[in-house]
Amino acid sequence: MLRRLLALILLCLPLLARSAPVDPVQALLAQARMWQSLERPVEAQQALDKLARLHAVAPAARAEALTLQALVQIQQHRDAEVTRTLATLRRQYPGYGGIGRVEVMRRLTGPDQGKLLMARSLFNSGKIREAYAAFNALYRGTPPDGPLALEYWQLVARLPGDGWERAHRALNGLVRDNPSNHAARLAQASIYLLHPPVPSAVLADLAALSQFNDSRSDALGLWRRALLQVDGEIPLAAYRTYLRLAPDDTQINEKLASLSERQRKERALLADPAYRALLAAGRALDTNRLDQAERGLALAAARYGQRPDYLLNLGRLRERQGRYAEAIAAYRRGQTADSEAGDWPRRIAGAELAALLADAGRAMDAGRWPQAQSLLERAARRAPDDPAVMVARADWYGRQQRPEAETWYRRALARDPANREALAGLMQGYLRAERFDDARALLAQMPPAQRLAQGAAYRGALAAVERAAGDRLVAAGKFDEALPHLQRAVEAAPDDAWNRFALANAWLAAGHADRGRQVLAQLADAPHANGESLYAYALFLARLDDGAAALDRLARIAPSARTDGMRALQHRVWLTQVMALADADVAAGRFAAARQVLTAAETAAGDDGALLGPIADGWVRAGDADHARDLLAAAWRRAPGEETGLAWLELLIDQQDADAAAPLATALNARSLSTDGAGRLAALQGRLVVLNADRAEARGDRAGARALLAGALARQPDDARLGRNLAALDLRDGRVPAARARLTRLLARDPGDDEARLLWSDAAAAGGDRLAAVGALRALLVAEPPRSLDFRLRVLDRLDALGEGDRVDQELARLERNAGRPSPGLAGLAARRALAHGQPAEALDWYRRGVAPADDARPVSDRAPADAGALQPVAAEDARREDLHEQYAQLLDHQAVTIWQGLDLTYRPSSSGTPGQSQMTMLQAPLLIEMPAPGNGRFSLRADAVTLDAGSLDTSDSYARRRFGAIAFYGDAARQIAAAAAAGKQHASGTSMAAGYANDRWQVDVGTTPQGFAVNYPVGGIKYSGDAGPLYVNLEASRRPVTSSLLSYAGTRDPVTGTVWGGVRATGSYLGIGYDQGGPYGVWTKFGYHDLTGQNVADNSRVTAMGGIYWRLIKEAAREVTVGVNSINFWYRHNLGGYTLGQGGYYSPQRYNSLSLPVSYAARNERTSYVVRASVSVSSAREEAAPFFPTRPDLQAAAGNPMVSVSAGPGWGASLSGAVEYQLTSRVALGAWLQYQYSQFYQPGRAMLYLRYQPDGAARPLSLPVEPLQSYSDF
Amino acid sequence: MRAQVLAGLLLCGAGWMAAPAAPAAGVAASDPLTAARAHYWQHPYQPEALNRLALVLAARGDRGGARLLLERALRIAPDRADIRANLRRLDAGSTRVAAVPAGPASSGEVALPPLWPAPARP
Repeated sequence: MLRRLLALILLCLPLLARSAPVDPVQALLAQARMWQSLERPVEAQQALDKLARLHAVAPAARAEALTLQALVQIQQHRDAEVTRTLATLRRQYPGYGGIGRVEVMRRLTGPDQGKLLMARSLFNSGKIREAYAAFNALYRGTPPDGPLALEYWQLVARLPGDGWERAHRALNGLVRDNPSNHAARLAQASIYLLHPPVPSAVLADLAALSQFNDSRSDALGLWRRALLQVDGEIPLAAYRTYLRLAPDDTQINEKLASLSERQRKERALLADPAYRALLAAGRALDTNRLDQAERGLALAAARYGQRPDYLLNLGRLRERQGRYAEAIAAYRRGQTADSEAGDWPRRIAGAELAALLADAGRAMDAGRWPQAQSLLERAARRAPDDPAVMVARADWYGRQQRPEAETWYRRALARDPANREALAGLMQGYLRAERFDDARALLAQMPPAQRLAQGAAYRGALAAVERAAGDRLVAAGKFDEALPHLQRAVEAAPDDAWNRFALANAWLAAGHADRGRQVLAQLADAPHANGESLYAYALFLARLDDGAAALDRLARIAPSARTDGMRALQHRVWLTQVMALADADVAAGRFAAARQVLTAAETAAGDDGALLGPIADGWVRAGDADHARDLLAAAWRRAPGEETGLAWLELLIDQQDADAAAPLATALNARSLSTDGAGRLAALQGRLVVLNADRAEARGDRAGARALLAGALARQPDDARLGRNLAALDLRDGRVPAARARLTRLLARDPGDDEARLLWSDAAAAGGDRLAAVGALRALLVAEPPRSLDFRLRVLDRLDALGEGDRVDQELARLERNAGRPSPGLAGLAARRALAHGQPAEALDWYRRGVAPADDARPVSDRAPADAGALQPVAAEDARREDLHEQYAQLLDHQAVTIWQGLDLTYRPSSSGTPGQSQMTMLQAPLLIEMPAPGNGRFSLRADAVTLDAGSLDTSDSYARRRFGAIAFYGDAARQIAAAAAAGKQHASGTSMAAGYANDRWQVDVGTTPQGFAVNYPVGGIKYSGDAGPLYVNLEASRRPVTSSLLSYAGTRDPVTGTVWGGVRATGSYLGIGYDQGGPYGVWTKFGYHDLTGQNVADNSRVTAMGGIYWRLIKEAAREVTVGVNSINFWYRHNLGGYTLGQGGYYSPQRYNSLSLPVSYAARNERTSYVVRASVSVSSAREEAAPFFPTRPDLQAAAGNPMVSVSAGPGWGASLSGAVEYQLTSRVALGAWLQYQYSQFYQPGRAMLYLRYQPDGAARPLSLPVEPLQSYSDF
Repeated sequence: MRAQVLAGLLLCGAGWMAAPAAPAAGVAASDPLTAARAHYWQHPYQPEALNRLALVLAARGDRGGARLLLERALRIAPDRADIRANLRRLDAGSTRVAAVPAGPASSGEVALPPLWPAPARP
């Protein structure tokens, strides 16, 4: 009766389930299929008969009906009919899938029935893998429908790995397709018993199935097993529900009573916090949260420390912590305390074995291989077949790179195909040896069952092989070839964030950053992404400089999942973001906004020195170095941590405050620092020594500087910085071999020290070994990996200096291609090369590009400052760009036209000279035009208008009138007076013209003395300036007028003979050698020989030797104080200082020696520069007697051989001079120059005013000291 | 006598000129002009240093000096629109300088990205 009812219900179910019209063909097919699967062939045959009576059945439905017919016939053992039906099916519907189903079923009920029984036997005896293989061999594909399928999936559910999931999916599908299939629902419920506790929903389904006769017994059986297999994990209500259907089940009744009693006790226990802590510790151990377990057990120890469950958890915890002795002790106590046998002996044995293996591992870590071997042998004796022991033995071989490792790993894997450590060890060995093919072969040959057993480890191994192969190609720069490998690694282990990170980086390197993002975003942007995937994505985003996105991903990592690495990345990216914000504000001149950002950053950073250091640097960039110091000093006072102290010390050294840095360095030195901190401190102390040495050197104390560096190097012999600085000092001191030897030693210790290699090339060049220097530099240029751009530019600078211009040009051409806004180094070098090629316009262009503001540093005006009408502060540029501005300014001024106009008055009053003779008033109006010239030089054009006035001879002064021209030839006074009167006013005027050229090395000029003078002649000179080691050398050849008097400069006419005489010029050369390195002192010397000739003037010659030493007492950017000692000596062959015919009218002692003490003070501000000089001197001179008329013996004889008398004796003098320039506008500067000399018989004075005009405006500040305009006569 | 007069003139001139001369670098920056000058002579080719001194001079009424410095800054940094803008403002008669208080900002909130707390030190 019930069967009929069920049949009726089943028949009606499809009709009830659908409100839409039902296809009767499909409905009958479904009925037939269902009855057939339930092994109810009679009902199935009825459904097929009804179907046969229908017309217009589609071919596919007819084929399926024939299939079901054959299957029903098989169930009814109607073999002949089966054969016929199958033949019809084959004939009418060849290739139809149902043919295979019928054949399989026929085979299983026929010839393969024995195999089926064998497979079931294997299954029933627990040989799951073998049974699985047997069923697969039997079915040759998917199992047949019906009970065989249910049997098959129940077997699959017992396979290790993902077997359960596969079976669950398949059974779910069967139940979904046919909810009325009780057998399928029972099979579905049965697999849940493999993973107790069975969920409540499944228990509810079993309760429902127990209402049907055909499934009651099986459902109750499963339900009962589910209730009995667990101990408290299923609610007691489920037991009570079961007992309502089977009230006589004694075992369940007892279980319920036992559980109720236990629950009562547990409720009582749960009221105790210590017990709750014990339970929490157990849960923490299950999820490997050892710290939490430790805390829980500590809380529970006092009250439950002797309970077996406490001791079990304690043992588990200690085992996980590697504290095996304690674990064993806990287990032993547990064993004693537990009334039941439990699995204490197994746990104790396991812990003892683990202890042995751990000891062996430690021995291996320490390289004590024999001890490790002995321990492993003991472990092997205890458990010879234990895979863990085999893996440990494999490790022993593997870590010694011995091939036996492979054998042991394989042995372990054979013993336990699911052993993941063995597979990992084997793969690690293969990958280390780059045996990728062997690794792939191992994985490919692994049977499916083993792959399943290994599960994620198998897929991880596949991924590891591809990853390693990809990494190797990436390292070789073959990104395109690496991509497929890395892609396969990701496919094999799609949840591995680091394989994705590797693939993303390969995409990035191949120029497809977006694809890299996609690879990581797939995992990281999933709703429940784990911390690792977010971390990996954030790292990648940080590499792309997308700090905001990186911080966003990091923010999604739960606080409990944050690792130190994640935290370090978050801090690094945060700092980069915040400092970029502040720097952008500074660059745009928004100082208030920058300060707000920095202040907020300070607050967020608290006392974290690692963050405060960079924030202090930000304050420095924002122009508030004082606040930077205060910030770190206050943080140090509040919390004197290592990071804060090191940051503060670094800031002080950056600010070159050695005095403040020294005690801080000492304080830090006295502390116990981390390894990293101690290394940083040592480096900073090295920098401090270098700073102190630099200061000593700047003071001129080179020995002190050397002692500082050498002393520090003796204490820290491995500090390369100290070694390099000492070598550099050697070089500056000209101790080239010492420098070279020191650098060679440094490089022997660290061949990769690029700075030392650079210095070594300097030493080679300084030692004259140009080839070696060039070779070293070229090697640096092609070194792999390529050095930074700045470093390469420094190398190129040196190559340029060594005359390797072509090589520099080639390299520059490559670098220039990508130079939108070139770096200062690149712009500077390119500009210098352009100048070397005679292309100043191009050089200016490079400089301008180099100093152009960055695109993101938009001008204040574009950002509409809050106070738009007010003058705004602007952003500072970095030091290297500042240097570039200076070079740009120099070239701008060099390429500019400059026009000078002056008025130059020389005045020698009658008190210092004789009227008509040595008295002189000279007014010059020099005009100078300078303009750029090839060869990095300047052309100059000069036109100096000159007016000379010496006054008139005093006719009443017989002494004076006899000493002019040939007046002494007349014996009587009247003729002399007449001649003197005829000489008239001594006056000359004219204009000199000159052109010149000058560059760093050469200075050339050609011109004439003023046209209009009684005597004029061409003048000029050529001068070379160069270096000889630390000395500078000047060599000059010239012809210059002697401007001592009107006679010597302009010449005049003799009133007696009418002869024009005078116009003396000095033709000869000077050699100057000196030393001046810009330091605290300098030395100069000058030696010369000149012939002095003039029109109708006796020939003369002069030897000059002079020199001096000066000290710069103060040398600052805006003021200088210099004192010195000078000695000037010269010797003229003849005394031609007289004004008679044939004499030259210039001071020409046969010996002159002087010693003077000069002092000068120069200062400047933004629009004024001035210098004041004063000196006192003592001298000694001797003038020999000379004939009045040295060129006219006839006159000399006729005049009675008159002679200029001998003059000799000591003297003293003083001089005072000053010059000032005032920048009136950017284009116009006014200058003045005054000079006054005082000696016993000679007090000349001189004053000049001048104007300098630069049409484009001055680019450089006024020079210090002033460099006033010079008249051509002063050359 | 003439010598003494000339010497006296030179010394007086030097004394007059010494007044506006720059102080030694490193002098305490108690006075803004002194500080700006010291900064300028430490960085005579830094446009920001020229601009800074120009602003101090302008604030003191020395528009000529300020203009000179701004023009020189523009000569060596011709693409600095911010300096050009200041020159325009000066030419328009402005000698007022936007306030730039030193030290940490006392007002205004800035929304920085959150910073994770440092791990607790053992």
